[in-house]
Amino acid sequence: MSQSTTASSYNYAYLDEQTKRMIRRALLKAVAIPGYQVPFAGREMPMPYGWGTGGVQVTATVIGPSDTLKVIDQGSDDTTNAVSIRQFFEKTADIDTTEKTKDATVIQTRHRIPEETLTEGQILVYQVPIPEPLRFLEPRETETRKMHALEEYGLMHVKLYEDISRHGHIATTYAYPVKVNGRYVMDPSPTPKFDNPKMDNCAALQLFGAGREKRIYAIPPYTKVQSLDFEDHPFEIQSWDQDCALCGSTDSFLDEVILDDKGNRMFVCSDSDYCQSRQDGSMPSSVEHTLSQASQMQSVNSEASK
Amino acid sequence: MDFQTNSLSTQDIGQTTLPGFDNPVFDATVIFRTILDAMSHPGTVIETPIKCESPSKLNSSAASVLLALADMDTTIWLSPETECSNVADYLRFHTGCSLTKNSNHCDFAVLNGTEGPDQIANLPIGTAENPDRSATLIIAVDHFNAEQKAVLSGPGIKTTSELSPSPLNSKLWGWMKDNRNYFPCGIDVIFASPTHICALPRSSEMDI
Ligand SMILES: [Zn+2]
Repeated sequence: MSQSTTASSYNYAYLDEQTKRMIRRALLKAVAIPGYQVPFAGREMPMPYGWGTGGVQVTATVIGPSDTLKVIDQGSDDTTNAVSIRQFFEKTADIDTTEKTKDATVIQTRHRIPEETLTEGQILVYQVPIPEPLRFLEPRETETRKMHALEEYGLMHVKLYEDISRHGHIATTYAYPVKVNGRYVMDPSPTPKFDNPKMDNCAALQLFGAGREKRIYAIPPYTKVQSLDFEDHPFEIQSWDQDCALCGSTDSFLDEVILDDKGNRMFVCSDSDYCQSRQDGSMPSSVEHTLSQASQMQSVNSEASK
Repeated sequence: MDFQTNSLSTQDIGQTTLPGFDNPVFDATVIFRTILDAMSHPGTVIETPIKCESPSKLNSSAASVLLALADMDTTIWLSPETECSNVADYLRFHTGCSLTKNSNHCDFAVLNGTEGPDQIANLPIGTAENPDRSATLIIAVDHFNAEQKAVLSGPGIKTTSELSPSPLNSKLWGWMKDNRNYFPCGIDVIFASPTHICALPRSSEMDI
């Protein structure tokens, strides 16, 4: 056998082949049953759980030498978490990396979906801390499994409706529950609800990995993803009174940045690649087109909220 | 960089068993990505990027799929038409899988397209709470240009797509249509011609 046994050697993309096969079988089941959480026997990764070990395991399982990887954390390619994961795969999987959404074949993300429309053939891998959308209603796994089996999602609607009676609107802004292909209620991971519409009918394959709870789920391309809502209180995305202070975008997700101790602040795009591309004037026209549609939708929503 | 590849040479294998993947790590990855692509785009016929020598009753694509996904943790059932010592030895040697005569206890099942649905009536379809505990069925066919076509829609399909594996036992069409009625339980099918694969996950709606 031509097996290398030097102390510094490790398997391609860190995971051993048996673990990859097990995760691969789970991923195929996840794709075939959109929104259903497939249990898998996760492995310890050389990083703490909060760093997205579930997403890292999924990425390590799908990635090959011809892939180009982008890693974002809260929309940014430059945070410690994103940089560490990118370097981990540069080192263990010998792959190219990029900060450009359109150049990536695999994008691992924590808490955001890129503003630029994802395309056919791309894979978006989400790092998921808590995969079970019903967990806060029912702590027992045996019970939540039954609820999913019976499509018993009434309690979830009650929870959202309590928001309305307390706040006058649905106050849930992150991890806003969705229903996938009219069947499974799914936690979209702690992305802002602003990103929920991007999951619907998306051309890219969306894979979700939860490391601590050892669950994998998926949304195939072109799959219906509905945010739960009520006829008299339809789903709405966040909107801002300001434009991005750096690129002038009127329709991207904005982060508030504190400028000084006198309370001065500004709002900038959370998606750093998107913002930079707009400042460089290199945003493709197809994106502008999609965004103008999104902005129409958003203005309808913000009017509705008034 | 020093990756372990666990590559086996023909000398390691000896004269009795055909070689498997040239490079088990990278070949398995590229085959998996092809299967993932197929499962994410039901009805789309995708070229199998690697040829591997396989026993006569198991074509190259079907063999590649099993080499990429099966191992000592999985059990394979072979239909009467595909069951023979060559196939069994090949799969055991390259994957470490166990083979079973019980079609109701397997992770993967292999059928020839000419065989009828009676053979696969007892494959596990999962349970309401654990629909993933189901078998994946690999159906060996010759090509994807059959006269008879099914129109597919559902997750992974932008508008509609067509499914036309050949040869296919005419009774299998009805079996596939029924399979959708058990959702979220059910069988996921991977059709494998010598050069291409095409998937039919349980989520696809089918019009014949
Ligand atoms: Zn900006």
